[in-house]
Amino acid sequence: MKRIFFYTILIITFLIAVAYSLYSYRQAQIYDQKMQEVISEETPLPKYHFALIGEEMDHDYWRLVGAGAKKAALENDVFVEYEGPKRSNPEEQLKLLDMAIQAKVDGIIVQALNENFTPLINKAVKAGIPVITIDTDAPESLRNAYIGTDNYLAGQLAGQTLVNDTGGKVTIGIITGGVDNAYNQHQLRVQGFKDAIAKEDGMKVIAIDESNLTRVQAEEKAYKMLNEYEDITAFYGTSSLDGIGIVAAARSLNKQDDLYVISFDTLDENIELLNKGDINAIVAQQPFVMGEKSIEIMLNLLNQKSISVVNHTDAAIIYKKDIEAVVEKKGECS
Amino acid sequence: MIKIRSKLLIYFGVILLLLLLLFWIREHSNQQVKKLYDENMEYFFLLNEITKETNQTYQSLQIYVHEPLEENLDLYDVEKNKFNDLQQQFIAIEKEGIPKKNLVNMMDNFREQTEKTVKGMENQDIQQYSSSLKEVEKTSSYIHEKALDLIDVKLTEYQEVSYLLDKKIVHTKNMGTTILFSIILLSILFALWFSNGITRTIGRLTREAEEISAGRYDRADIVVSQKDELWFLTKTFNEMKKNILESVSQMEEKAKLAQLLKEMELKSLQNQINPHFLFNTLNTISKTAYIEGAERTCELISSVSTLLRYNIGSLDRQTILKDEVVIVREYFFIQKTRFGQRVEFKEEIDPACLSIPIPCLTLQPIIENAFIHGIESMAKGAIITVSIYEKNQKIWIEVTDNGVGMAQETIDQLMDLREDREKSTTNKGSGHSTGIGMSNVIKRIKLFDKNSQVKIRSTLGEGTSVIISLNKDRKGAYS
Repeated sequence: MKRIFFYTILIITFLIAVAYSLYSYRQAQIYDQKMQEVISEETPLPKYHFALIGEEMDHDYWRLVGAGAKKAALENDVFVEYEGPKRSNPEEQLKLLDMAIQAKVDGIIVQALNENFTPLINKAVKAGIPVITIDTDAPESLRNAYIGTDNYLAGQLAGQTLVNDTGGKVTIGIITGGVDNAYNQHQLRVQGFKDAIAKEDGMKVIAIDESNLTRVQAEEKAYKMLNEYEDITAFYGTSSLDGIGIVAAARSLNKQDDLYVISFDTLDENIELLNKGDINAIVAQQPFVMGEKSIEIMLNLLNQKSISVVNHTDAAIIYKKDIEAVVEKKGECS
Repeated sequence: MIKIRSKLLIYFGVILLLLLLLFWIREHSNQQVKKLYDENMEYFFLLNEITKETNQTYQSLQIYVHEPLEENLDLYDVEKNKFNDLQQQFIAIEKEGIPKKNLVNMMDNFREQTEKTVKGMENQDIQQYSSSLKEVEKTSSYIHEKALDLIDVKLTEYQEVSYLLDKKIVHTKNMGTTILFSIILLSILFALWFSNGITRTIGRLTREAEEISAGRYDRADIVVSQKDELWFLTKTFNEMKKNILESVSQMEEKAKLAQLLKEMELKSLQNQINPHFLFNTLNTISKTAYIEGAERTCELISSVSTLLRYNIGSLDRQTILKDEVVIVREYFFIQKTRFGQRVEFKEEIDPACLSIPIPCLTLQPIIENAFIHGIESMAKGAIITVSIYEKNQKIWIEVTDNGVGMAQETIDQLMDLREDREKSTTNKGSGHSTGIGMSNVIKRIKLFDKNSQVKIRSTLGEGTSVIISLNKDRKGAYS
């Protein structure tokens, strides 16, 4: 009896050991396979290889551009290298453009942030690489096409909205990305805005300043403005981070409830502020569509189909009630 | 039949195989780690080398531009060739993909620009070579950056792979350990099983041998399930035991027979006080009676004398049926004289059957028995018949009387051949018998011929018949 018990235990232990060793073998095989997969991750060379150079790598807006481009690329056997400086930095952006030229990509999609881009764009086109400017145009360069929001129209839309929402009697402060030539798009946005409110007598732009596309400067400038001009009742921010800066400034002066704020781009922060009621309306651009279309235009270019040189995507006004739809769409894209 | 040797060989083979497997797994795993490490290191070194060589090519070019000497150009050429070699190596080693394409294109560009610079130098085109040189510098920095990117990517990949590899190694190690554990368990199991198989069988054989040496043969055979040498040994042992058992029982039988004969001899001696003297005296009396003219008396005494002579001979001698019949006739003669008309004797004897061997003094005691128990008390009309005939290759001897018969109990007692029964039946001798009991006769016939049969049929008041059948072909005797 005791002996049988002993034998049973021995045999069971033996079977367990064998089973466990088999299990371990299986596991080792699985990991081995996974490892092989990682090592031999050889992407077959796609038909075309494009470089997309944005303004800021981790910016929501540019991420959406990249997502749109990648989606279109996937559908067309194209590889898109989405690149950009970590923080807005024209110098690095130029270098990335030059590197893309040196790497002899099949097409370059670039945001022409200022006129320093023109010679490099020309160099690329001369080297036989088609170039599309995105978001911000360089009309004097040899670029093959442009795609982006019609900034003048977008500014006009913002002005129209302000007029409609406030009844046409407001004192306005404008925070813009930059007013010099380099930031052409912001100029156009301001111009469109101004033209839209020009007909209304009660609407008056009292101050205009630059945030240089940073949040902190936007806050600083808005703060200054609010202190300087007590009677400001509305703010217009032309770049995506301006709205956040304005709200922060208003909050520190406890004026957020009296101000009407209209800003650009559906960043997560902007949407949150819109939801809280700190921002009243957002001019939404369509970065995803931009990215998607840029690839299509580039493919048409390479296939020598006719294209229009200037392509505009629509801008739209988003209120608090529209948030759900926007968030949903964003979720789909990213 | 699997030999113990084969079992051992199989066992060692299995263990050896498992150990080899273990070592192979370990070695394989180690080599994989080393290979992965080597590959990555080679890759990193190559990229590092590319960056360095790009820089050196640029510098040698710069030196040539500053001092356009023949030897500086040679120096540049050497660096350029090295650069080309590295590019080829990189193309060979790097997997296809966008990063490879980018870097290779940049390197191509770098080479083009250096060529352009050299050409510009040759043509003394200062504008061309200065712009190209600037381009070369920029490109070299780009190459540097791309190489760093690649290293970065590779390191990230390596990190992932090494994580997976770690996991794999852990599992492989576990497997090795469990295999080792299994080997140990298997060894223990096998050792137990094997030693049990041998020792248990040997133990049983030893015990059995002890029993046999103590004289107990009637034990069940040993059964061994595994067909190996021990199985064979056990089988032979069992056979040997059986053989011994057989010879012993044979010996016992013989001893019994001898004992029985001795007993009979002793009894005859008791019954005959100086039989030779009696025999001589009887002869003398017979002759005297004859001289005196008493012929019938002479005949009677002569019959008694013959009977006596036959009876005092050695009891284990062999006779044939004919001698027995002669003695029975003498006996009948004497009894006829004694009982006169009260008894009648009948013989139905086939003379052809008289030559078969038979133990002596078998027929007479049966007839005596018929007299004493069967017909003595009858006043007249008693008949005793002796018939000898052949039937079914057997000789049948039948002694029938029409006397009082026997109870079934008595028949059973007579037929019972056990030792203790003998005494009670033989001690009842009376004046008519020569002293040898019925059961003694039956036993002797049985011992003489195993196939013989003795039957007693009897009905109370009607008579008894004793039937003996003997094998006709039997030559045997007391051997």
